[in-house]
Amino acid sequence: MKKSITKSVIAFLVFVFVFIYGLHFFSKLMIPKDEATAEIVSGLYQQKKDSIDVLVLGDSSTYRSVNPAILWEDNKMTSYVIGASSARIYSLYYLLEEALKTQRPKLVVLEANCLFNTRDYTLGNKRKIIDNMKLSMNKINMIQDNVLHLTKKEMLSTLFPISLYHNRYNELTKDDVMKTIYGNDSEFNGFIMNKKVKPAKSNPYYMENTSKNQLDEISKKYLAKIENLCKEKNIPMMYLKVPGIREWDKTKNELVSAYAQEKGIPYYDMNFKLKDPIDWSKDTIDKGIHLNADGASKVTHELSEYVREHYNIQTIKSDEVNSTFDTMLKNYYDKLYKE
Amino acid sequence: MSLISIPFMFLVLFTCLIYYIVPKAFRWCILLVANIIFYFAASHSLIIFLIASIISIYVGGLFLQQQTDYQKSKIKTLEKEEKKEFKNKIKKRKKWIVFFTLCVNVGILLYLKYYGFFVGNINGLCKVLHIDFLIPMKKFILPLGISYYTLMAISYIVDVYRGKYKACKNLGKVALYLSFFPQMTEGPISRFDQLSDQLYDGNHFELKNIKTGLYLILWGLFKKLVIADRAALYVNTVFGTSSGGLTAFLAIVLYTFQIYAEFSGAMDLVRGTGYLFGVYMEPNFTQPFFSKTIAEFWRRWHRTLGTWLKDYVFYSVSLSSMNMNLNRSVKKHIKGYFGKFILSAFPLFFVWFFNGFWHGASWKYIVYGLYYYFIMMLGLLLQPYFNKLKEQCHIHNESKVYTIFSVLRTTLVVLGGMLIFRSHSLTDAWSMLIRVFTVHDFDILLHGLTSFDFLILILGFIMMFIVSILKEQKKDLYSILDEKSLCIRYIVILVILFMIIVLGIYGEGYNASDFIYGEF
Repeated sequence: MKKSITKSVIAFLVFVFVFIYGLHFFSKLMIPKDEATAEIVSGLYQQKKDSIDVLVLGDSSTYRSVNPAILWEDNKMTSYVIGASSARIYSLYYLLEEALKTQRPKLVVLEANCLFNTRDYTLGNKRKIIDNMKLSMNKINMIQDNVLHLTKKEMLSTLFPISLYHNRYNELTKDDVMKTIYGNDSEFNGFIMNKKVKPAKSNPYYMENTSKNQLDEISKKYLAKIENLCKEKNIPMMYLKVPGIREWDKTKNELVSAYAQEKGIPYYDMNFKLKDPIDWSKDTIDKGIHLNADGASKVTHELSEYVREHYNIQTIKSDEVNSTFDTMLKNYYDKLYKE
Repeated sequence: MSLISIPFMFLVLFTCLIYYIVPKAFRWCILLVANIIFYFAASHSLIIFLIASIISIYVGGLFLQQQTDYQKSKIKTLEKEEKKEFKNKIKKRKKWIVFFTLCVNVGILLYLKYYGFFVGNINGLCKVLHIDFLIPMKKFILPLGISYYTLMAISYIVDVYRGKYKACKNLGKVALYLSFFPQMTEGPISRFDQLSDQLYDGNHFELKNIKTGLYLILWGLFKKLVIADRAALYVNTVFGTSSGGLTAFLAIVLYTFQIYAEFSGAMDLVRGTGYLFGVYMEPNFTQPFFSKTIAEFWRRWHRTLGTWLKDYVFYSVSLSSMNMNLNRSVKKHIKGYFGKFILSAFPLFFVWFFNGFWHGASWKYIVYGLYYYFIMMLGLLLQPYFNKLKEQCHIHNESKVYTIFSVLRTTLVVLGGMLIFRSHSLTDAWSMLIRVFTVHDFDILLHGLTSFDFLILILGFIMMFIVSILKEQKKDLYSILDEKSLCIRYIVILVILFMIIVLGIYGEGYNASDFIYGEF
């Protein structure tokens, strides 16, 4: 009798385990994967533990401007761009928390564009981040954070993403299955390459424009959180602004500059100081919002030099990590020239 | 609160837990509280109509019982001649009580559900006759399950009148019978004597009941979310458009499949929930698509409505003085088969008229009911000729080929009925039927379903077919499953569970909460 009860209990527990695992598997399978933010966030988990020297945080302008393959080529520095479409500072804070669970970077670079865009944004862009984060207290804290404005139904749906994505059964590809089993990696460690050219209307004086922008309370609150987190982990920080005609101006630069000075954090605005300046008739994919591969190459070489000069980042990586970055570099040039 | 909503699941779970914790004597009170929560959440202030029905049948029942008891006690003291007079007097009183009770219940139903129909027709008629008279049109929100609980209320009061059982003296218990929450949305139309003991006695916790209940709920969810709602994607895209040919024919077939999977799925959910409380409710479907005749189909399809119509419409009409007079007159003037036919046809007309009318406040539904009546009467009228033909052709009723032919013939007739039922109007139904034969349209993949969806539907159809065969062979599917090893049971459950979760039509972009029969 006792034996049969034990057997039933064990069988039931196995049933529950298989059910939960199945739910997790199908959720992973159904979540859209062929998308920049999804690849970047889930790719973060594919990085070897303690293998990243530089973490770059930012929005889409960042993941189209900073190329870890070139940072590796120039400095033998391993890096990862944690970028998300229309990323807000608060989303980046939780992503940094997530990254620091497995990485001990020597530098965290925060791209400043997100500081001026804190209003609520589309659920789709929030979900691209949340759905690809592993279930943890950090994820739960993020979901519950009022700044994200998630309803209870949406919160529940983020914990059981299959309820939202199950109707993708008709779109599933072999790639979805493979990425579910082996993980969805970011091809160039967060850099999204695009070779397209769509020239900007000439606006060489955009950095002389002023605006009524301010660093609002939300920005300050999450900036402080990011700074504290880095301080706690003893990681130096720097602010960066990649070139962009549309969203940047003199006022914003001055505000970030003043804030950085106040906090004693280095700030580098590439809209002013690029040695090899961006040619807005060639280096952009969408009239000056995002850079193409050539533009990104210019930005990354510049960043590479800046980091080399200002930070002493030299770590010895395992052969496996070296080989991964060598392969990434090779793939980058293959894609750049052959395709 | 829909049967497949998360709040409903929580309500069932918590009610179930509390039900088995409290002493047996109070368990019915837990169900009553759950009913109130469920109904109030679903219908808010419209609960007032349910309360009116409950009070009316409770009071009506008590008055009827009082008259019956009075008759029993007094009749012994009376002389033989006085007895008859006294009985008639009491019968008359009881009839008035039934009449008033029915007026309350049917009145509420007619006013809320059929007001628009009657007023629309009266206004239309006045317009045709050029009479300057217009009744203002009103639209009411229907209280949940009014068509179902009104029939249950009628059955209670008529059964007490007929002396089938004694009236219940406890208002709470009458309320529990009329509002038992799992059956409020789509029935079944249970009878008081079927449910009362099960509801009031407080049932033991039995693992077998819980398991059967959960199996039924799982199967019901599968039928509703994976099959019915998927078929609906195609059906809703094609009906109301100018599609024809195969596309339109497939829409009619899929609608039939949808409504069967959905309604029988809902019944599985309802019965499964009932099982969790140890309450057994009559199945509403017994493999209707294995029927060889339309009459048999309606004995297998929505059975509780069929038996209700038989008990309270057919018998009432059959025993009415009008029918008796007709009987005498027909027997006198029309001899032979045709005479018998008329005697059957007369009360059946009311059954099928009410069947159609119950389904909705529209001529379409009346025609839907009478369509089956017409087909059945035609079959009855021509039966002698068919029998002769079969004899000459040496066709045996029991032969496999004839059985298959009969099943297909019945299914085709049902498809016709479903076309009327689903179409917006009778004109739409007719024009769609014409287009099936006149338009060449084979593009079935352009109407909301992919080939993978069709594959799932075919798989669902096969699964339902196998289950139906097993049930037809009187094999209890759940007992069969229960006899298998734990591992096999869990695998079957997991497969169905994941099919529901992954392939079910629910969530954003879909509205899976509406049941077709929940609208009545």
